[in-house]
Amino acid sequence: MIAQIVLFLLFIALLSIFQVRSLLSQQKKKEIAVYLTLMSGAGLIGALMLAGIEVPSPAPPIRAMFEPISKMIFPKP
Amino acid sequence: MSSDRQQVSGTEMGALLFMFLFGSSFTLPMAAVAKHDAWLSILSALAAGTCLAWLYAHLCQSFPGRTIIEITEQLLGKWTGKGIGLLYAWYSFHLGVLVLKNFTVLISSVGLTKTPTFVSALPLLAIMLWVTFQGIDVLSRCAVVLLAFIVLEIVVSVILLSPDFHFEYLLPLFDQGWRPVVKGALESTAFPFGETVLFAFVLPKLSKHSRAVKTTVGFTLAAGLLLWIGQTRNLLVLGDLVSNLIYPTYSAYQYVSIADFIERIEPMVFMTEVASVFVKLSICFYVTTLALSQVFQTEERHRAVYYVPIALLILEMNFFIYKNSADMYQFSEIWPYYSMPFQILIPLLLWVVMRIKRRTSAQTSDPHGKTPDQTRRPADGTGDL
Repeated sequence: MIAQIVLFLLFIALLSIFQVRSLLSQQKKKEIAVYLTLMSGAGLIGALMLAGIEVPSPAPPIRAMFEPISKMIFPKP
Repeated sequence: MSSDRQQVSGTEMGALLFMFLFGSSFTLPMAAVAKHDAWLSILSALAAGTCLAWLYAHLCQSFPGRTIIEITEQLLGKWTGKGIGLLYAWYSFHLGVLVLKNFTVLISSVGLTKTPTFVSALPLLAIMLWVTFQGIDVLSRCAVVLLAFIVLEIVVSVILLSPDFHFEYLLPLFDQGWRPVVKGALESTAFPFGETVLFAFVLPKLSKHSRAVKTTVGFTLAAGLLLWIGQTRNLLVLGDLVSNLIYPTYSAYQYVSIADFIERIEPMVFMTEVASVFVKLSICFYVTTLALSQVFQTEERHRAVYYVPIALLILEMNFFIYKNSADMYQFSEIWPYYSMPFQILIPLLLWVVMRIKRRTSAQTSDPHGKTPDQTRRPADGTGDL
C-alpha cells in the first residue's frame, strides 16, 4: 500500500515538475498556481484513496440541499 | 499542439449535440417514474428541451464567438461572470464524473463483471484526453462518423424487435394521474435535454454564427425524436417492466430472435454506449477546462495545462462520488432541481437582461432614425449591445 502511494505521488510530482518548468520559462505564474492547486488536490485525494481512507463525497451535501425542494414539489405519498 | 482555433461546421456541431444527447440516456430508462406513460413524458420533455436549446443558442447567436462566461461578463460585470464561470466549471465536471460513473457501472455490472473499474475507465479517459488535446473540431468529426452507427443501430433494432411490439403496453393513458407524467417530464428535461446547456461553451466554435439557433434547435429535435423512438421501443417490448430495470435497452435487445439465427445482439448496446459516452465525456471535459481557462484568463494555447489534473480528478471522483447504487438512484431524484439553475435560471436571467439592455439602448437613441448601434450591427441581426 505504501509503495503504491509513493509511486502515485512520485508520478504526480514528476508530471508537475515538467509542467511547471515549461510554464516557468514562459512566466505564467497564474497558470502555475491554478495547476499546482488542482494537481495537489488530485494527489491528495488519490493518496487518501490508496490508503483506504474514505474521502467525503460532494453528493450528500448537494442532496441535503435540494431534497426539500424535491419533496415540496412532488411530496411522497 | 491543439488545433482548437479551427471552426466546427453546422453538421459537425449537430453530430456533437446528437451524440451528447445519446450519452448515458440511451441505456438508462428515461422518465421511469411515469411507467408506461414515459413516452408522453419524454415527448413533453422534448418540447421543453427544445425551448431550452433555443434559449441558450439565441444567447450565443446574439453574442457571436462568445461563451456564456464572456456574455455574463459583458451583461452583468466581470466578477459575476467569473462566479458563474466557476459554477459551470463545477457543473460540467460533475456531469463528466456522472457520465463516467454510469459507464463504469454498466461495464462492471453487465459486461465485464470481474474487471476492475479502473481498467474500464482509464482507456476512455485516455482517448478523451487525446481528442480534447487535438481540439474540438477533431472531436466533432469523430462524432459525425460515430453518429452513423448509432442511427443505423436504432433503425435496425426497431426492425428486429418489431415482432415483439405490444402496442397495448402504451395504454391506458394517465391511469396513475398526471403527477408521475409531469415528474417524468421534469426528470427527462434535466437529463438529457437540459444538459445540452454546456453547448453554450461549444457553439462559439460554430463556423456560421448566424445559424446557431437553427442548428441547435433542429438537431435537438431530431436527436430527441430518435431518443423517444428508442425509449418507446423499450416500452413496447417490455411494458411496465421498463421502470424496474436499470438498463432497459440491454434487456429489450435480449428479446431479438429472428429465425433462431439473429440472436444475442445485446453487446451492440455497449458499442453505442462507448461511442456516445466518449463524446459526452469529452464535451464535459472540454467545457470544464474552457470554463476554468476563461475564469483564470488563461491563453487558449495554455489551456492544456488543466487537462491532466482535471482528468485525474474525474477518475478519482468516479470512485467515491457514490457509495452504492442506492446512493446513485437517490441522487438522480434531485438531479433536475440541482441542474435547474444551470440549465434554465442562468440562461433565462441572461436572456432577460439582454432584452432589457437592448430595449433601453433603443429607447435612448434617436426616435426618428436608426440608432448608431443598429447601423453598426451586422446584417444578420447579431452583434454587441
